Amino acid sequence: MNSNTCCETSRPETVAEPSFIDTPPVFSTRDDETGTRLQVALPGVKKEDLKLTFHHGALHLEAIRLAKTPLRYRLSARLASRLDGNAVSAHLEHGVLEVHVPLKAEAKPRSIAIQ
Amino acid sequence: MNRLISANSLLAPSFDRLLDHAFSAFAPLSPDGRSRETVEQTKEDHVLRIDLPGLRQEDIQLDLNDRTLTVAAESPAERPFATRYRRAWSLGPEIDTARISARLDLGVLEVTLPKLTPTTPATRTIEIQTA
Repeated sequence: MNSNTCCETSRPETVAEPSFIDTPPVFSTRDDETGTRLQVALPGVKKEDLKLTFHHGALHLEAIRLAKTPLRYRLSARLASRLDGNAVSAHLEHGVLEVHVPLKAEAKPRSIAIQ
Repeated sequence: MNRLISANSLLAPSFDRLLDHAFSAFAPLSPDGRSRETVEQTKEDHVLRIDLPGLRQEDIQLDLNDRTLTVAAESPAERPFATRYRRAWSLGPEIDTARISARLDLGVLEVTLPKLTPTTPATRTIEIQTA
């Protein structure tokens, strides 16, 4: 007797992907003497739902905003060769992600001693 | 209703009426082009959410005057995504204005507009007085 067979076969094989509305985030960049600051508007996004990666010379951001209809903010930015993608720092506050990408050591301004 | 908009506002005046079935799940972008607004309705209330990334509590003024709800926000220029925002809504008769509440979290202003609780009409005998 195998009464469970019907239930096993009727179970869906794949779990449905949650549907997101892809939305490009509003952002701005600003260069200063230490590097580049990127500000991204991510209202409603919690830190744990935010992923920032550096891969193949580009920064990639993906953030999920949970709501009745969830949104997905995605942004990719190729970094200039003078910037150090391995030393990126970021913090999220008041719905804004601020990313600082410092200059590489060799690109930083330095004083030259006059003999 | 233009009197609701301050003379120095850079934004086009806007005025909406908040009534049952008056909103779809996603309202269009607001006049500043980046503050997305949504209104969600449940059995108990309407929840208005406005994206105001980078703004602090002290940048936002929320007023209720004669069933007109006004949100005015202005952030200093040095803040990220500095903006000036002003919107007004005329509240429908089903909104219990005495219980409106609001909170700002993760750059989203959430205004909860509870619906009036329908009261069951009580039956009572009215005493007839004599002259």
